[in-house]
Amino acid sequence: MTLNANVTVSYFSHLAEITGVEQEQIAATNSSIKTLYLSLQKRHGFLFDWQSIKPSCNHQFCDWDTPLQAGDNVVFITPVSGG
Amino acid sequence: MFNITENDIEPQTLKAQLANPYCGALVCFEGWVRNHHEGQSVEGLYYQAYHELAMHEGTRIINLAKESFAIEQASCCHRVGQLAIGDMAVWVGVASAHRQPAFEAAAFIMDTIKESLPIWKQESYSQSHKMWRMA
Repeated sequence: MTLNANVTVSYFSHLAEITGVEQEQIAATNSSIKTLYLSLQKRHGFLFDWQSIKPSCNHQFCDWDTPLQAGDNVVFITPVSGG
Repeated sequence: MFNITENDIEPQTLKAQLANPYCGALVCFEGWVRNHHEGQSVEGLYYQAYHELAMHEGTRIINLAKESFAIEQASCCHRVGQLAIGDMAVWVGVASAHRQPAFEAAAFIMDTIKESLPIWKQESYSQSHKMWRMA
């Protein structure tokens, strides 16, 4: 069965600089959040391996195998530098 | 208590919120914007937050500190936006009956914030060069 999930990906810091946008809508098909990242990494040329960042979905940290659902808001957290 | 602000941090106000007659110790930490990093001259910092997740994570860190150390009160405020040299970027305060847990909890809060809070800093150097910091 093919599942289509239109999700919003929001970008901060390094990733916003690379993509040139703060958000984009993605039609993710049969995707986990990891599959989505690997696809976006290829499209935009992100330099961060998936192991070096943390995924979040709907304003919570989540696991990489989290399945995407329509309307999800996804953010990939690159190494932070607050403080 | 955890908060993110685009305005100047007011440590006296934050400190007053921790007042507790059971406490004999208050440890405060202020993080300031300095004018250098790894040998380069820094002219200013821009902090960007993923606000919703940062509020959730910051509150989790404060609650974890209160569970892990013998303290009564803990608070943190992180500033975002454009900051100048000398501006306060972060304030942490911990109140406890005795001093040692307050020192330890304040260090724990700062260390954990620097490790996991979704806030990023961009340094501005001379000649308009800018760079996002990683840790």
